[in-house]
Amino acid sequence: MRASIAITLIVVLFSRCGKEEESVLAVPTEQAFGFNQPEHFPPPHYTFTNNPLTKQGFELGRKLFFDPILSLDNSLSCGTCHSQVHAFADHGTAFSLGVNGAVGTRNSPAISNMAWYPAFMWDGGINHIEIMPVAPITSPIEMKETMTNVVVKLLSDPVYPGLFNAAFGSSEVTDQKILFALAQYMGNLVSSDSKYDRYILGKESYTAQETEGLNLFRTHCESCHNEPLTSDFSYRNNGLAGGYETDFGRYLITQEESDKGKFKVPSLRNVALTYPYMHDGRLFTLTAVIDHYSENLVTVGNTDPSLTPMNFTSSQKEALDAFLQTLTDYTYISNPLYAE
Amino acid sequence: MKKKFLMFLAAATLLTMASCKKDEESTPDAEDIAIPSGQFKLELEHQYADLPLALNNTYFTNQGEELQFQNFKYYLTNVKLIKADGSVWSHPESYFLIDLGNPSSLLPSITGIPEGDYTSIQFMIGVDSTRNVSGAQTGALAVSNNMFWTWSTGYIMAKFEGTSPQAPGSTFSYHVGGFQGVLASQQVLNFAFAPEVLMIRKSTNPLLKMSIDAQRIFNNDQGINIHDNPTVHQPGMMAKRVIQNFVSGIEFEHIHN
Repeated sequence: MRASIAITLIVVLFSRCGKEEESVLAVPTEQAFGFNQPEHFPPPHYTFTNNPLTKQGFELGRKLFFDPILSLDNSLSCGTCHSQVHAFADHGTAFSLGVNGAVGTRNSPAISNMAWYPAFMWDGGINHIEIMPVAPITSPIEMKETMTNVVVKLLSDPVYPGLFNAAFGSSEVTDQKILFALAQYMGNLVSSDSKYDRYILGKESYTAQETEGLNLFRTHCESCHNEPLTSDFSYRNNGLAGGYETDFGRYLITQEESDKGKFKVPSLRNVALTYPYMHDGRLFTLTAVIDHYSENLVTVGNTDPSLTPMNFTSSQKEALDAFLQTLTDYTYISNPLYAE
Repeated sequence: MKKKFLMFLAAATLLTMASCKKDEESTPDAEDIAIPSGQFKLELEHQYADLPLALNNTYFTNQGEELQFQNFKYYLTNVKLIKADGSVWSHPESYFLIDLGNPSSLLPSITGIPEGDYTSIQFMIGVDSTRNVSGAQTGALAVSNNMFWTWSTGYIMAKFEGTSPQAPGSTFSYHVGGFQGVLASQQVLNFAFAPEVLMIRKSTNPLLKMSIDAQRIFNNDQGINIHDNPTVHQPGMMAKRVIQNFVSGIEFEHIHN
């Protein structure tokens, strides 16, 4: 932390040597802004190396995230389909609506702990957090805008050039700066204060039922949803009926036959808030999800070999449900730092 | 810890002040020592067989298919110059978006080269895998250049689009991408100048002329029939064929030192 302050100061000092007097005046006094590394998490994948995290950059990213200016007709923001009260998933809808009412094809995923993700989207097609927002901004069934036009709109806005100046030292708006700012916001969205986290850190205890659920989870789910991030970020076919007749999933990225019908193992953090479930939002309740793994698995060619019907008893199902509820992080969904 | 930190800061501040002073005193001569000032221009002459290549002009493949290009863009990157002794100079941040519709892009200027006699050049058509996995870029690599796949991260190494009456929808569109493993489409090319030599001197700006024959996209050993292949929009065998055919039409012509 101190080192980062020192580096920031040095950067500030160096920039004073430059010729751009205006930008020197605009350099804020307090630029360093900490990344919240939970003590029980591994080191993050994204470390802001080329995009130093600052308060101004984070706040610009937050403003952009919630601003419909990023969409073609200024009707939709990132936050429209990624709502904080749902841990940044959509509001209980299987397929989100884009500009002109276009209907999506996969369930809008929850957002948290993205700095730990090696790849993004259900098929893992996007390899970097800085690049990720280009997909929804430019998709014809989502925000349907071009990056060039976003730059034009932000440049002609009365407020944004000043915010870009504060965050990046010049009021020029570029697609790279837009993406850097969004990455600073999204990369700092850390969910690590659920009851589960406090249990792991020895700050809170589980009920007997929650403990039973955790034990069942560790026996039957952990190999894919490994702790503490609750995903191994692999791609698997989880035995959904008719799974890949309409969506080939990972195959669309790799063109490997063996990847047909595979989707990213989602994190289960805040899972009670992120319904409906699966890549196509076909299951609306946690009960239905548990039933799927318990007795509704369909074995097709690429179904993950580690999946066999788990045949939980009804009290085991209740225990698993109770455990999954402990993954809800109320601090995260009410944190004003992340809010619109 | 705090003391150490303060000392570090003080040292850093001193260093910074020193560097400020140096900047103020710096003269053009001093800068020359820091950054080599040699340069040359790469003249890219685009043709279609014996005809000059221009957007919207009509050409024919050797299979008799008619076509007009509306978009003709590709990345030329990672320029390196090699001397007779094998030593290599690599152009830093070497990324050019060549766009037939943008004449100024057809004469990339390579600067900051140490003086010397160079006997060959290497460059890449496409974008190296590193920049395909390094997040938001700027300049020629900015995503707003529309040479980037959003659904499956990666640069469009080359984009050839246009019309053809033989194409089922009257248009053809080749977006060549893929940067990993067997799907990698970027191509590294080497051209020796012998018997010519590229003489880089502080006071000169040589012209290195390359020719690019767009007909080869369709007419190489593994020809591409537009009627059967009007669209290539994903990594794979066809994308690699398009770019391999294309680079087979790139040749070194000569040098004006």
